[in-house]
Amino acid sequence: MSCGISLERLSEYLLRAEQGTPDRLSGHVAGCKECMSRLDLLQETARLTNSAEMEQPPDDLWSGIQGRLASRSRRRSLPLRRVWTLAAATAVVLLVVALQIVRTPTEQLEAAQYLERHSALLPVEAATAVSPDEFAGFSSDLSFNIRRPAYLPTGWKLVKLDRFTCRQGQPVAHLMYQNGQQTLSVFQKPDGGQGRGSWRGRGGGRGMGPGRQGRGGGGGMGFGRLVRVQGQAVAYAAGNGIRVFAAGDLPADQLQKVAESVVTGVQIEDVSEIGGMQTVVNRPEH
Amino acid sequence: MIVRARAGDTDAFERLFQETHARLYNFLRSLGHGRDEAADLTQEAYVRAWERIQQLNNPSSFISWLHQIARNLSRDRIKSGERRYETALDPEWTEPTSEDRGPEEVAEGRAITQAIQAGIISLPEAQRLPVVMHHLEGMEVREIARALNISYGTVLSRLARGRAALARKLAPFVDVGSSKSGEGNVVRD
Repeated sequence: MSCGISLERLSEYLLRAEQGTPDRLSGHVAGCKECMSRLDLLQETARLTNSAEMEQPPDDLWSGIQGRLASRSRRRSLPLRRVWTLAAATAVVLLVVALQIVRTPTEQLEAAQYLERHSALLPVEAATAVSPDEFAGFSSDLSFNIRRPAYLPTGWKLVKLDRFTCRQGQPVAHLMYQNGQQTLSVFQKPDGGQGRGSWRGRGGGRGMGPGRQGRGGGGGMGFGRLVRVQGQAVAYAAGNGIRVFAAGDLPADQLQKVAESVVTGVQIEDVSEIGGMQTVVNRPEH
Repeated sequence: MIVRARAGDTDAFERLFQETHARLYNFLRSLGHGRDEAADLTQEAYVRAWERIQQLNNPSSFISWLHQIARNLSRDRIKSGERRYETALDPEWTEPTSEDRGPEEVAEGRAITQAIQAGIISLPEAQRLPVVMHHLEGMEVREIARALNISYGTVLSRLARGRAALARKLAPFVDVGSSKSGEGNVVRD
């Protein structure tokens, strides 16, 4: 009479015993001759199976592997023609980038002279703000319309007006701003050509409201970039007939905003009336 | 050796190959591939292993990982229908020989070996793989579980059923002492 334990169940019992895992069948197996006999069969089967030798693979497998790896390596290598094409394309890209980085000689020279002039006037003693009358008089003496920045960080005031002839023979207006011990110079002069630059200023120069001097040069676009002179940043913007350079004690991005706002901003007398013009932070104090 | 192979040491990788390729070849044979196809897949498995060895985080899992690669290659080959070779499961494993054995013993040994081989081949794949990997390749149950991506308990269950099936086939050849069961080698379930 069968004990009812299947060969598969007994095989699992044996396997668990080999793995050191307890099995509740232990009690039955110990007292069952049938199970003990079948366990012997299972153990002998395992022994014989363990002794079965594996089939020997072919002898040339390794050389085949080497060949495949070499073949894949060759396929991944760029053909020489492609290498040259890639190199040429890379050189072109690098040249374009370099041209963007290296400013044109004119802008670089101009930036250098403006920075020199800014530095020459330092330090600026604490001064009172330039009055509107002073500014009006200053503007009328020049042959072009002077624009004030539509953007200035809080606390800066216009403290000095100056004009000179640049090395290119053009009249230049120099507006100097002060904020405590910090100074900022904004240089502007007529621009005979189109402004060049790597970024676009925000447009929207248009006359606003009644009583405004609508000289906003509607919709003009400003173009500007940063120029480095002896490690110092000088912002440059051009458009709407003027070229502007800003240098001084402001972060480079702030200098850019100031220069840009001169080119693209409206002729602002009272920024508080503009409203909604996000670039306007503060009206220059007088 | 695996660490050196990961560092790009081709000699170390070749030594790894020499130690493991027979197992992998037999594993692929147990998956039903003919000799040429198993050789082809074995080579491809090692090529892929070399290319991806940086992905092997645990060097001790190299064997399991290699089996996974081989298994995937096998599946891809079967799915793609690009089986170029006959896949008849005709085992021609090396027969165990011994110069000390007499003709009768040799004949008996051959018969048992053929019975084992035939028995393994006749197993369903789910049982065949754990049997080959455990008994022929010497892999631990946990290694098999990792290689086949199944649980430890599942491996035990499939291995147990495979061994039971083999026991039935080998029963005529195995003398475990009739006095124990009192009924010769008849296996009753």
